[in-house]
Amino acid sequence: MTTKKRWLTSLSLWLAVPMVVLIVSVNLEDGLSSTRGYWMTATTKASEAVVFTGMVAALGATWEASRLRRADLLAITARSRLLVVAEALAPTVVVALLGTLVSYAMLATLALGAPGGPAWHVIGVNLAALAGITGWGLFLGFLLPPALSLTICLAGTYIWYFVTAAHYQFPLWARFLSGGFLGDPGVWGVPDPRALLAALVSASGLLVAGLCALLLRDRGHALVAGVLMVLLAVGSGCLIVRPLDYHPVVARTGIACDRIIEDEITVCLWPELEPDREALVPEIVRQHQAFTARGIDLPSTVSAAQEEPEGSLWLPMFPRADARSTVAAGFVHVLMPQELPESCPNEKFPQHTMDAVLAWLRTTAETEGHEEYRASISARSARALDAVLELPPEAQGEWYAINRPVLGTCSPDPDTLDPRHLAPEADS
Amino acid sequence: MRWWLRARLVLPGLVLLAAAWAAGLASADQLFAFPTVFGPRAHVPVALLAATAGLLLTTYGLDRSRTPVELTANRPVLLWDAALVAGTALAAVTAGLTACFSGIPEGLMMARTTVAGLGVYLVARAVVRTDLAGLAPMGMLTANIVLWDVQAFPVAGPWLLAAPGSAVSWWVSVLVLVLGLGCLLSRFPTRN
Repeated sequence: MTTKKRWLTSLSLWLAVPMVVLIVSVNLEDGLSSTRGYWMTATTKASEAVVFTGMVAALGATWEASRLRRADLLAITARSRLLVVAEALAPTVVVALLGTLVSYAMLATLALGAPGGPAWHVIGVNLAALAGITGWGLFLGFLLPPALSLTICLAGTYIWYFVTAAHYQFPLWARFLSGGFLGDPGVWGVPDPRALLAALVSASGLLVAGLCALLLRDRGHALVAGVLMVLLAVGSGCLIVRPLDYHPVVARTGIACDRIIEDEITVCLWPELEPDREALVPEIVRQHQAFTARGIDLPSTVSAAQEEPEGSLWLPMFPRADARSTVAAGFVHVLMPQELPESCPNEKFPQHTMDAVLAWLRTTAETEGHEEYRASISARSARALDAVLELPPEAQGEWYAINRPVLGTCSPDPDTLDPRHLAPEADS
Repeated sequence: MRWWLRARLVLPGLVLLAAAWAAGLASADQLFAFPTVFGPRAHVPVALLAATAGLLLTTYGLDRSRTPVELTANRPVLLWDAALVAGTALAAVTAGLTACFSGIPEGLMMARTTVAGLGVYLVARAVVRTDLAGLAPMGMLTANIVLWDVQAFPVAGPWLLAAPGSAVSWWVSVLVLVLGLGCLLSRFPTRN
């Protein structure tokens, strides 16, 4: 077969345009709204394109393998089987890599100019996932009749990439096996190595299954060996990711800290936040002082890292964002409970207290849109908020300290929501 | 007849179809997100994917026709094939109606997808190679999803993703099935 004919009759080539359109569409929809200025986020979000490149790679590989099977070419060729298949797969590999490149190029615009560079280990896992699904396509193409293999391949990729991530019968961690969902870490997080490892292990099993189908001359042996390899690899992947929830992100480590002598506050920033240091640090100090002036006991070290230094106050901040709004939102975030009960019986959730405390934090921190939020809460919460804001600063902090522990529990609104008992005249 | 039943994989095809329907109806409230060319992702019932996947062995069985023995047989093989397709479609509609009256309206969508899927397969096998024709039902579902403008039509999408009782989409599905049966019975030249 001539090179031109090989390309023109390749299924992947015909699927290339829809694939690129879908990759661009998805990246425009939510990829480009991810965290800016952090290579890790840009890389993991770009890796999500594997759901399309993987589908095309699998279908292309199945198509080529079923053509080779139909022609019985591998049985009569004097050349290496690997070489014959590699030549047949060239258009598929090029199209899949093109899609991958388009996705990475689009999302690299989020991080251009940021310190460091693309997360090469994530790209490596992404390419391994692509190789794995190509191997799976070869496996199906060589072992099943052509009319069956393509359809099973398409249905299989739907299940592998989409249904595992959506169906309640699949555990939340099952989506990480395909390598298409590596999380959307903020600057304080990195993908959980277990999710990456599980994707790598699963991909290896799928690839080896493809190699079994290619290299073993007996179809029955290839089928048994391939299925065993897939079960072994996917099973191992399941064991690796079982402890994870739906968000495979762990805390990033290695942050640098600077002590600000005059204000006795230590601020730790990631390299991605350094360009904004001059705007961020005064804002952090100002917000820290505003809350401590209200009697809220905050650690003297404010860190952009989640877990270091030990005992510090974690402030989630975003690179290339407005310093005032990102710091204010960060303080509000850490002063609210990090986890709420999954569900509470009716009348057993302190909703009014929750709204009033959040509104007070937003007003104190002067977050963006805090006035609109004040207008959106219930009349009872609004009355409590207005009463709190009339209190002296330290009494406001006391009101927060009394009501804050209730927020993470299933309990009705406490009597302490009404701050009148903290008013100076109530004391006298 | 026994030869035809085995050649067309009638029993395995019906078993797979029934299993897929059971899985689809059990997952009636489950949706999966799939990107569209218009931007926002479409949330597609898993049941539709199950209904399409359930046709796999039926279409594969139909693909195993045109052997020399069959082409020279004086049995009404084409009529049997047409009866298999029509019977499968009728069974799907009956099951869909039953599910709908049992409070699972997605059953009607599954039935419509089955009817359209069979029709699209028969039309496609008259035009393209049989292995590509096997892709037609799932390809048709994929095309419906990616062409769904979720922002403009948030509740229901085109054709297979329309509301379960949409008369237009039912008519189109039945028309495609009739067209497909026409291609099958007219011995439309098929490509191997």
